[in-house]
Amino acid sequence: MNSAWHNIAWLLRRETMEHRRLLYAPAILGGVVIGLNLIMLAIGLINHTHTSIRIQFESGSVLNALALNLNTLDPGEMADLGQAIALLLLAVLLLFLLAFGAATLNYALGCLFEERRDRSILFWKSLPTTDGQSVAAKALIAMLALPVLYTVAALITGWVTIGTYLLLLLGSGASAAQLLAETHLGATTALTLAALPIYILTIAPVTGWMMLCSAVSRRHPMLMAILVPALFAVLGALGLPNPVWHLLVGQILPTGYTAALSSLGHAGGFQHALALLYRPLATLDLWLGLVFAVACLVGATVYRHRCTTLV
Amino acid sequence: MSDTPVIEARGVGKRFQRKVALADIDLKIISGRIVGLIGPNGAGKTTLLNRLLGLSGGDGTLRVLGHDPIRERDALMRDVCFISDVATLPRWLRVREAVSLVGGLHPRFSAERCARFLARSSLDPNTRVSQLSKGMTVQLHLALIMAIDARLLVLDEPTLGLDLLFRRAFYDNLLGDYFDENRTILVTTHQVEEIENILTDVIFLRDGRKILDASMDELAERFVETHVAPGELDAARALGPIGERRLLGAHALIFDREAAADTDALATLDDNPRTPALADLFTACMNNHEARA
Repeated sequence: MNSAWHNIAWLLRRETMEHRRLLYAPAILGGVVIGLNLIMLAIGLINHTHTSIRIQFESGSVLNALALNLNTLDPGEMADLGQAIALLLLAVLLLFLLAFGAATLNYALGCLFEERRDRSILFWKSLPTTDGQSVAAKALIAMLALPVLYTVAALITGWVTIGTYLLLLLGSGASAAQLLAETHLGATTALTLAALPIYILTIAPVTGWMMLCSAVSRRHPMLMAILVPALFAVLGALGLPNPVWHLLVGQILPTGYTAALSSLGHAGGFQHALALLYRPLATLDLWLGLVFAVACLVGATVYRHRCTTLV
Repeated sequence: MSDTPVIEARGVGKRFQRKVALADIDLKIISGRIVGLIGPNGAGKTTLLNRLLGLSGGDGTLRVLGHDPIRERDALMRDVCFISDVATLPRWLRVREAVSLVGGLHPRFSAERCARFLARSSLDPNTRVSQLSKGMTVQLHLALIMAIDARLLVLDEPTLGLDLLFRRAFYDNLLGDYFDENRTILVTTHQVEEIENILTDVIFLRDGRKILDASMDELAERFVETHVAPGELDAARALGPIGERRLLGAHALIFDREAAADTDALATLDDNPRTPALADLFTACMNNHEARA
């Protein structure tokens, strides 16, 4: 008999085959960002040969702002450039956060619903695996693989993009070390990686909730996923206790991470930011949320066990 | 091993809210049989199969290969394979991915056997199920299932919507390459005529109840079809046929020897009594049941 881990490993392989696009998406997105950036840079450099040597921070996107000539930089301009590059990393992170949100929404709401809708669950259930193993594999993808994949892809994309500018800067005699120090790029990257485990824990209840909706809903898992918390939001607005906000909705945006980021430049530096980042570990909400997430997954397993197809 | 019944059910039932979908089914199926589960739409065939496969719960006691289908589903599925309806293979799956996944997840799957079955079909390993015709999908599913060394194979309308050639090939493959005395096949289908010759036993279901459960040999012993001229029809009808249908210039009446009042009189009706075709017997039993109800 195959062990549970053997089965989960194969079920994970199933998920990667089924949702190949969600897993390739960060690579594609990264490629597009890097490519676009290179095009912008090339346009900036080509344009420059016809005009005077001057840094032009034009209004518009960060990418556009960086399409400039980097031959002579005075200290003030270096600082400006540093900000632009730091912004570039944050912009890339934000872009990937949005993509991650879309991917998780898509995956978590569909993973247990689609197999019921197209009746393929009957095929999967004809194999000697348990519902718990199937749900575990899906939860690993939604709660672990997707956040790790998108974060790593975001950082790689950010650094490749930044790298192209750094290379140009080095070529023009600027001090890359100075620039890195001023932009907190290293600290931002370390903080982003450090935030990953916390973020995985804090969004687990939302992902678990969406997976439960996917397992339970008869027609529109998205509607169910939104309506129930919305109902609680109304209760909250009426002054009644609203635990759902703390456990689900309030956790979606990485507010702790942004708070930690903005504290980087202040007193205490990285240590302080890290402490800020890990503060949720000491809160009851996080642990209640995790209990809720586990309850959702158990519920999804029970439902998958009891109900098979939609028709 | 073969002494343990493959399926043993006592008082198995299932209700959906107030509707009784299955009531009081007793079953005992031993190894090495091909059992046809036959009934009109809504008779409870799929409900019964779902119970046997641990896909739903309900009343009564049920053991499949000695396992409780619900609580020991994981263990059960190592010895049981099933095809529920056509086209339950995921549409995104490629042929080679299907082989690899079933190979990884099923300890009794033989990739070699599967490759042999697939080689006979014209399935390209890189094709997705969504690009396959219904017939090809069933071929793939059957190749996957037949490569598993299982003791019980459950087929729920496996050939629904397939053309005659595919249906023939399906059952030919099943009989020629898969079935032996250590295996049991339980099949439901509406195309009764096509599987009549391969069945060893039949179970008729109607309105969630079992109305007949017999081997094909017992059926031949018990039921008889006589052809009578219109002039003799009244006399024949008096003997209590369970079914009747018109032929060209004659009437075919089916009698249940166990229920018929006078078996000697029956013998005089037709010099050449025959065993009724399964489809005719099925129709007769269904109509007779309706009349009694």
